[in-house]
Amino acid sequence: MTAVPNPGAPDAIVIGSGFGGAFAADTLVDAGLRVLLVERGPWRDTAPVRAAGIAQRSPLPRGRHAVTHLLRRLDAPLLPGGALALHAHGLFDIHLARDLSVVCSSGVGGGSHVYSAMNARPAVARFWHNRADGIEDARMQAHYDAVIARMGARAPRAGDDIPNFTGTRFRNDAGFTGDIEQPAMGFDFASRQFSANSYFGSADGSKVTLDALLLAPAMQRGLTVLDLHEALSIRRDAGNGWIVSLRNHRDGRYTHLRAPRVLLAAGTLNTLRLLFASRAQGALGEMPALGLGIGGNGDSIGWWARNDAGADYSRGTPCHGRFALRGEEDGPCITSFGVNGIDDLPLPRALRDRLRRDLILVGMGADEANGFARWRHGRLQLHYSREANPVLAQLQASFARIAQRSGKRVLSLPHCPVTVHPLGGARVDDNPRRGVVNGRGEVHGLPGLFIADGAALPAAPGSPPSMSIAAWARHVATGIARHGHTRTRQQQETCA
Amino acid sequence: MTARPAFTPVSPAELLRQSQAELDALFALLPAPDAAGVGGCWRGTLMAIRGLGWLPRGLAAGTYRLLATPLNPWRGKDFSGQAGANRWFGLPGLAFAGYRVRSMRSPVDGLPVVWLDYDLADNPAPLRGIRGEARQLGDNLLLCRMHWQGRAGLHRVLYFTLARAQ
Repeated sequence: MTAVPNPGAPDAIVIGSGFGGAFAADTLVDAGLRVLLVERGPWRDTAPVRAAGIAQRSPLPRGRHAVTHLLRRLDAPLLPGGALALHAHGLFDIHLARDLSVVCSSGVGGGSHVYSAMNARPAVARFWHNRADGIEDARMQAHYDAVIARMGARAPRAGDDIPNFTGTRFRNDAGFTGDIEQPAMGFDFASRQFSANSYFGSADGSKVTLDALLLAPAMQRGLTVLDLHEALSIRRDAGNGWIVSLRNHRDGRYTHLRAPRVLLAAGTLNTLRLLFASRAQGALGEMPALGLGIGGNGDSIGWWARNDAGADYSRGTPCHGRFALRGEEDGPCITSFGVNGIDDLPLPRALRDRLRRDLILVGMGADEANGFARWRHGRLQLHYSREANPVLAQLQASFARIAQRSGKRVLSLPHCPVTVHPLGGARVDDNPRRGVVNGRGEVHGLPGLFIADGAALPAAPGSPPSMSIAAWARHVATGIARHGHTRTRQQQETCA
Repeated sequence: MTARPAFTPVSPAELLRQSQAELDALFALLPAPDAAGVGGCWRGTLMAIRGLGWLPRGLAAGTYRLLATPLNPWRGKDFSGQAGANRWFGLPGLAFAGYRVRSMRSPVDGLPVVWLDYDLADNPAPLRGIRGEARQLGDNLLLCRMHWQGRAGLHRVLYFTLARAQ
């Protein structure tokens, strides 16, 4: 007896709704596939999401929700079981580890709520060249063009009159300059809303986020989004498709969904957890390269204790922009931020006033992506060597020169690398012993299983990776549509 | 032939929290293993026991973890050809309560399954109404369920996983 196809079953399940999941789902829906997207976090309560008619939303961590909705989960070696689940509606997951700590976010729209709005191409020239069969650099550039255009991103200009924009702030500064290539930003400059729009989210919608830009509109075209549904495992079904087991965080119930193809885009750490856990259950075969190629994109964070009288660095775009030491304009990517959203934090006023006079520096660069992840006793362990990634020392040296030139301290923790851009672990490579996915994003030996997020990136782009992840996801989804996996219009009408 | 790493199959912790209805839905999607390929010794973990469905999920999971310890004399099963037996007080431990093994269509959902039939002359009468079904959860990991064949039909008693013993 052959299984009767269920006309209501999805053609594809997308796990995760960040830059990978959202662009993959949007592309597949446009190609005519019936797509179900599952996201472990909630819809966030922002103006555009309310305007889209999404009824159930969860607040961003501001005001009276600043503490309760800040953290979702904390992974740390000394915790019982290695992890503490705090609040299913929390915005951030923190994974603490000696070698590399990671901060990532949760919610429909993924990292777009907390990122810097910088929509950049790789700092590494010809990033996709010779990575795998089926990947052409020129074609990938077309994907970058498409996703950046879709974000409506453009570089800030002096005429935008943006508070604290580095392109204007350092104009008369002898030590620093912002007169360098500025990244395009996914930001509504016309809104003139320049506060509370960065890493704690953008409640007013001035920062372009994927829930409002892509997912809510895609729901009008047939996309189904299950928020607060966390994928726990994936395994093959009886008919060469896939089963995704989910837990509903609203009522604790478990659901098992079936689809001919599954796209993992849960964010690097969560995609790796899902792959490792499912492999440990014998559900995914060998995947010998799983865990290889971990990197943090060279992320380096510093606190620039400027204490500039009269300054309010909390205002501006989500990121103030890039800057460089004069004479080192070709140096690494260093950006400045204020304590954005500080007025919504439950802090004494004197402390808030003090903090708004300081800056946060974030440096990025192409690290070697030579770390690895392992799965031990049900926990993900990251191994990463600072010494084997010289870009970290280079960025710390840049911070030291910034401090010297400004006469103001830059505080950092060079021996405790932290990244908000974990990449790799399920990277693309034609050789299954070096990579987990092929050039189409499909897992070697597991037809119908794809990886469409930062876990698949073959190297560090050295610049904010959101557009690289989006371009990769679009590439994967376009390939699925092109290779005849689309349900034809006739089939759709027959099953309706 | 290259050596393959030996993955120790792990009974997924989230299965311990699931109800019979939820496991029914998963079971219906799984492929049947090859009956000839299940030979050997398998470690068992009980879950979704009828009558315990009222327990909060966390408490239920804790109960089943307790039943996975030596407090529970049942340790698993073994299979040899078209026959098998339950294992008690360790693996291989003592064999008691045997069954016939064959591939067939499940009388519950009509889909392929490995069927265990306890209606053997060697079994005490109270055990002869037991029926079991097994499907493939992963390599070396089976999801199984136990029924009682009553006059009115099959009654689902519990679920369990079988992980191939190393």
